[in-house]
Amino acid sequence: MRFFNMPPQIFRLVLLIFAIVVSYLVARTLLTPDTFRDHGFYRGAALVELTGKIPVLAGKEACGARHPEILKTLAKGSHKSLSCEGCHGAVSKSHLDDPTDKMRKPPAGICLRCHEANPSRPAGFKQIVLHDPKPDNNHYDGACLECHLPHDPKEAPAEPDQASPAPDKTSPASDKAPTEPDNASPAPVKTPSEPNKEP
Amino acid sequence: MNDPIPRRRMLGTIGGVFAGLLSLPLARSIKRKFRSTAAPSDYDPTQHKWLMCLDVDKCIGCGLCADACKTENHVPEATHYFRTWIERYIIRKPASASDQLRGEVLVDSPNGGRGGFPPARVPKEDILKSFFVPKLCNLCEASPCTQVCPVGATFDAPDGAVLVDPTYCIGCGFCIQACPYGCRFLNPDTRTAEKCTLCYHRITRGLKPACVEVCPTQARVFGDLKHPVENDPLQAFVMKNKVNTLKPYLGTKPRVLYANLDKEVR
Repeated sequence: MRFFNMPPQIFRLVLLIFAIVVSYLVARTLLTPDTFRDHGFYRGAALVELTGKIPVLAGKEACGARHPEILKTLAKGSHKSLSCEGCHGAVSKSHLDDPTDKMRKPPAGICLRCHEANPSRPAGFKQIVLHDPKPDNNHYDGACLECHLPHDPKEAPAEPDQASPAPDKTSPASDKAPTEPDNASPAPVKTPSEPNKEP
Repeated sequence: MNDPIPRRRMLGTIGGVFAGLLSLPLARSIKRKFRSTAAPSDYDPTQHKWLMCLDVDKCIGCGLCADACKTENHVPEATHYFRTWIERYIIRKPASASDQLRGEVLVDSPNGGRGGFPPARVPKEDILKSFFVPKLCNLCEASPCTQVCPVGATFDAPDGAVLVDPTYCIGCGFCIQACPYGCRFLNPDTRTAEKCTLCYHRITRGLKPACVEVCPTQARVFGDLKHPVENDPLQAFVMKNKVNTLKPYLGTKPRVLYANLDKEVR
């Protein structure tokens, strides 16, 4: 058996090299994932798989779908850039399924997390010195809510003994709230009210 | 030698088997060519380019971002696993007899800034200046982490995110050593490398990343460079601020921009 007058020992060598190349090609084909090199030196399907995780935080827009009045109060005060879930925690599935299952009350001291005096904070940011030795300073530990409505901190909460319902007077001070650029881009939300239910 | 199978037929059979095997890769490559590459979702990664920018002067160190990130991405609770975290820089006043402008630089990040920061260890009178720096993946254009991955498990996605393929990561840890910003860690549960994905599952659904969502001062600005909105926050950020990147001398070409960054920030 001679090909192109090849001596048999050379022919066997060619056959061996051919076999090695073919087994390499076979192994590479079988071991390389289907979507490898779709975009680059990686599995393209990984991109799709990573999008499949289910979001935990619902986002401010989702809360606004059910609680527009609270977001309206928030938007007119100096806390307008705050997110609901920053203080109230992530929207749980049980709250979505059953609105009577309330979100958590923000834990005590959550105000201080941002507003406790700290030399590292930006100088213009409102900060409270705890246990201020000055006697005329009314701010003291844990009682922020006695004077401030968290959704609109320039407003005082309604007195419990007050007969008139919900004092809806907007003081001129609240209009002078620092105007920060609203960076919240109006991102389209696919399912605003129930993001946790997506597959 | 009295072979039951003649030598010629034996060789012929071997050749035939290999020829048959050769056709297998060809068939698969043809199949791949005609396979539909469309992803099941309608998200096309080539049509987006995500970017996050940070303003150091706006960060108040509340740590809500680090908290939200752990919740959103199910990051292990232990105090050294973070996809995003906040560092506190305290620059002391120089010693009175020294010829220096600034003294010692102290950096700390207790629990990544989760739950806020305790009072500084330095008395207020000794502090020349102090500030918070939020940290996350710098989305390098020449990312050192993807260059060292031996299995192609970490990659620069076409939409600007640097991602890890958890099913192909072998947990060798090369990328964790390669990242000069310390943005990666080995997840002890999955034994794979993990990092900030820009909340890939959120941004592909039109939501903001968790840290951007909860940031109370808008120190974090996020957007899509290929789809600028009206009064685009990213464009405004670059227009209003003098921006810089972290460790520009390393040549990693970080895309994440910082405004009001001090020279001491590493």
